[in-house]
Amino acid sequence: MKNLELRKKIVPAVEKSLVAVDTFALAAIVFISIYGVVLRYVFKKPLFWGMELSTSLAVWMTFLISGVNYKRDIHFTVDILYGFLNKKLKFIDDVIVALVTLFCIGVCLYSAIISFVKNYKISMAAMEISVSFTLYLPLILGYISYIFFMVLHFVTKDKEVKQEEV
Amino acid sequence: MSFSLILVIVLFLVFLFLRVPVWASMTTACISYLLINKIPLVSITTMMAGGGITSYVLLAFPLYSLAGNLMNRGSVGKRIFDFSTVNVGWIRGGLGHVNVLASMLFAGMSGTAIADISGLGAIEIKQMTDHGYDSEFSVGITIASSVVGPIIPPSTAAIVYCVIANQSVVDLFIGGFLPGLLIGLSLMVGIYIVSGKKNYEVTKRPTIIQFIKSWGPVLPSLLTPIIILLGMFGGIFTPTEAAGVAVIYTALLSIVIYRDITWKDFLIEIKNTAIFCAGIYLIIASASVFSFILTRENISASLLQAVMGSSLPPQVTILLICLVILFLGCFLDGTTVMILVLPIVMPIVKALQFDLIAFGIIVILSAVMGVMTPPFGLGLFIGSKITGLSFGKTTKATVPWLIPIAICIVLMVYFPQIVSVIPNLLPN
Repeated sequence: MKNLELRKKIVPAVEKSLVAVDTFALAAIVFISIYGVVLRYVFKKPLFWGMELSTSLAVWMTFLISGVNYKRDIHFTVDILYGFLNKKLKFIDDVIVALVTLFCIGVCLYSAIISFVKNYKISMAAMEISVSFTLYLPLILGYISYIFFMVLHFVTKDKEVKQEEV
Repeated sequence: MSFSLILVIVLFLVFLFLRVPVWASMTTACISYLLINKIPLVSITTMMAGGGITSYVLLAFPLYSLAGNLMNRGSVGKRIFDFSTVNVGWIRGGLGHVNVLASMLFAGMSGTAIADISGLGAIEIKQMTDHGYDSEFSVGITIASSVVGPIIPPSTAAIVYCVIANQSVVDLFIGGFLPGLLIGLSLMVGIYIVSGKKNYEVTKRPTIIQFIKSWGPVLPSLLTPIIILLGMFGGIFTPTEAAGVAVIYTALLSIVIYRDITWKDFLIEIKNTAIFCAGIYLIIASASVFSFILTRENISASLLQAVMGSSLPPQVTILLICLVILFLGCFLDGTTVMILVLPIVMPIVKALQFDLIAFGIIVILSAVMGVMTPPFGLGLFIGSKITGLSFGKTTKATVPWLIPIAICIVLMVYFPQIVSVIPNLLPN
């Protein structure tokens, strides 16, 4: 019961934090695009790091939220066969989907960690920040959150329902 | 075609139909290729994080989506509908024409078909049914007219096309005007013919005073596409900066001038747009791995050889590509279809020496028609929800309107000048 309450607090907190960072990333992209124009025309001083920061933020925006998108079931999918399946087959399909996705994320996570470690000392061209932090860290965090929400979906959901029924 | 590539395609399709997310289907299928060909798996991250999604031009995609969502949340849709009612509501077919004109004007701000159906569509369908138009006619024309959304600038689909096909955003935006007008007119002709038998209610023809007055409430919002295009064409800002300007302009318009939305709504829209665009961006990221495989396998050259060897006229080849896109659009989101198909077909189109700007508009139109085709036309689901009609009835009401749009596609394939005439008139 204590675990359940803890989960009810932690999961929304994780979800909200990820969404907040994602929202901030897009808001920052809007700001940078306008800031660049203002600097160029008003202060005659072009923003040399704007393009690099914006595209890095796009990478953060993309990967960080992938787990939340899984939780909310809003990833783009093809439902043509799924709609015809009965409840039991749907569950089997869900498991297959989870296994395939888990394999995919596992490989991607391994790849992202290796990339992070290997490129740690390489900086971006305009910003003095490591490529690992700007491009590879969001992938690692995103994949971890994906696994987190997947595990939660398959392991805890049924238990929670059972406990609530009790 | 090597065994490993065939395996990639088969796995991709199997996973896709099992309901594995598109991005994961594509990436997992590509992983099998990397494993078979002993390509280091670490390259996946390099391709996904450093590929298409780091394109600066592509950043215009989330920004235009955000501008469109902001317009949709406020009262702009209602203002445009009222303006259209005054100006074309008196023609036979009344609110049907209003529906089309409103969608064309709204397209100049939103840039997506779904924004049109879900926002403006709800107003259009309610007004039409309240004035005695049958639900089938109302929903059919609402969904059909929404396809001008990504054709008339600004357009999010055009951004995606330009990034993949390496074309000028300004040219594609400007080239979208005439086709958008053509689609609108073809739908209006259809409405005029259909309404002949039904005797639908029409409004009074406006006086000059009423005509002038009708412009007041909509003029600031109608300035959006003009600001974007003038800014881009005048070299004042890049397509991405233009999109940023569009966001700030629509935010100021909705929050300060029209006072339809609050700052909190603004934040909510940023959040919703970021979440939606992350889904599209993830597919673009995985498509980078797929593109790498296609390049490594030299698949475009093989396809090109096959197409050239078939001695089909270029127009027929383009129409066949459109059919493939239309078919895929029945199951997948239009932007996703473009991301999947364009890297494969672009070399063919270039070799056929077909106008790439015209091809862009043709591809976008073919892809966006997916919103009005079963079994997964998102427009059909939304239309069905708004009207309360069954999915089958909504489909039946919408499918006939595919004819005028298909005619427009054929016309553009045989006369690409419809698209390219305005961009060609303008100086470089």
